[in-house]
Amino acid sequence: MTSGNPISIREFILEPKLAYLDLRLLAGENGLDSQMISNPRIQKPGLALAGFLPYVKPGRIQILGESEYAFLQTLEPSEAIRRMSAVVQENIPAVLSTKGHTPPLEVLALCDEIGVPCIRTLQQTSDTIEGASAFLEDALADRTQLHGVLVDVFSHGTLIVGEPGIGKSECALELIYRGHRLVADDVVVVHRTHNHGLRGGPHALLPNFLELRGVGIIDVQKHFGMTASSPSVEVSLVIELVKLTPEHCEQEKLWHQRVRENPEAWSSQTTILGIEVPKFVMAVAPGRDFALMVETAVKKCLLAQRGVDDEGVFLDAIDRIAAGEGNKGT
Amino acid sequence: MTIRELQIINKLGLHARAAAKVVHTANEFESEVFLGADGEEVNAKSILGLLTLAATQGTPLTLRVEGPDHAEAAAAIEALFRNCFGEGE
Repeated sequence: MTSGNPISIREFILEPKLAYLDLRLLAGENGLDSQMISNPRIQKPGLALAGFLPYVKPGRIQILGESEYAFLQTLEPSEAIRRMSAVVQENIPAVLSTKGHTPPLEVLALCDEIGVPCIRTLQQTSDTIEGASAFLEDALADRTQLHGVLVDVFSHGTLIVGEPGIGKSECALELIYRGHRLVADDVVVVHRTHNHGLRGGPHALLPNFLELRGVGIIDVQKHFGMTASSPSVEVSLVIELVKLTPEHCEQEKLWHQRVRENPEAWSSQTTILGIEVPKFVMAVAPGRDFALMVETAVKKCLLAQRGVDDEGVFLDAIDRIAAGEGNKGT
Repeated sequence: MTIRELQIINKLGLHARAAAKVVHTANEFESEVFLGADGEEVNAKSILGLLTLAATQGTPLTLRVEGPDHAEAAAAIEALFRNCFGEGE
């Protein structure tokens, strides 16, 4: 697991997801590539402008909004400049001024001198904070690379794992044939998103590629059209393909025992980047149609999300009959 | 488990044909074989992952082999790297 690389101010300004902020550089051009945002949280330096500096955190972008400017208005102009200059010199990556406000020229000159970019947007502070935080949380999120195939099945990101050669890519191909979309083959890059989700995508070098043993590497968009792949999806389910070995039979016995004790435990869970994801283990055997099995597992999860628990209803009915309460359907 | 530091000595780096040979060799063994660079590790038994390493000449790679025949597998992969993937340079 690694954390996302810090983002330079140049990347921040040019980020397409923040295009609506129309970020303009006012000063500090020489810091565009050297100043880095390493902390996804933004900060409003209200207390710092009042003179309390210890909590200005390095690596966090500082946002000057209406309230900060209103406060500075209450001070003598020279004092306001002194306070702002103190904040700018606190080892911060950049100052972002909202609602079209512009810091005084003296402060901009200082930004130029010490290489701290000062950026401006016309948007409101709340919109700016929301957009910038969401982007930074995702970009700086913890990430990991997993070996497997990620397919978007009914908009449910399904990660198929298992040892090399077990048939993950073949299963994905069959799913693509059924109209589902390939997200990543072989190397799946997973990020933890700001809303405690997991977003998976392909390695930067491998979008749309699928490797099929005996056939070669194929570009699924060229074979199946542009709707056959998707750039990323929320990882919602893990399917592990295993060989039918004596060990697995042993595991299956344990699993049956567990299900007898707790009928809800059909599926297990796995943890990716600290987040629990439901997992189904399927043994590979001749004659099993895995794409159909995967589709069915996804539908089961979708039903569960809507509060429909098919086996629960069935098992409850059996329990009632066993207790002599219901009729046997005759 | 065997862990080795490997160096790519051939001019063209870990190119597609070389990666295919690594995959072929790794698949001859029962053990799990992984190659890592820059903190990212990929499964050496499948080619796409290996190609994402995009390792050039001189890149240090970490080989990790786990399983019953780990020593033999590590030796075979190491020999392949030392031998410039059988391509002479």
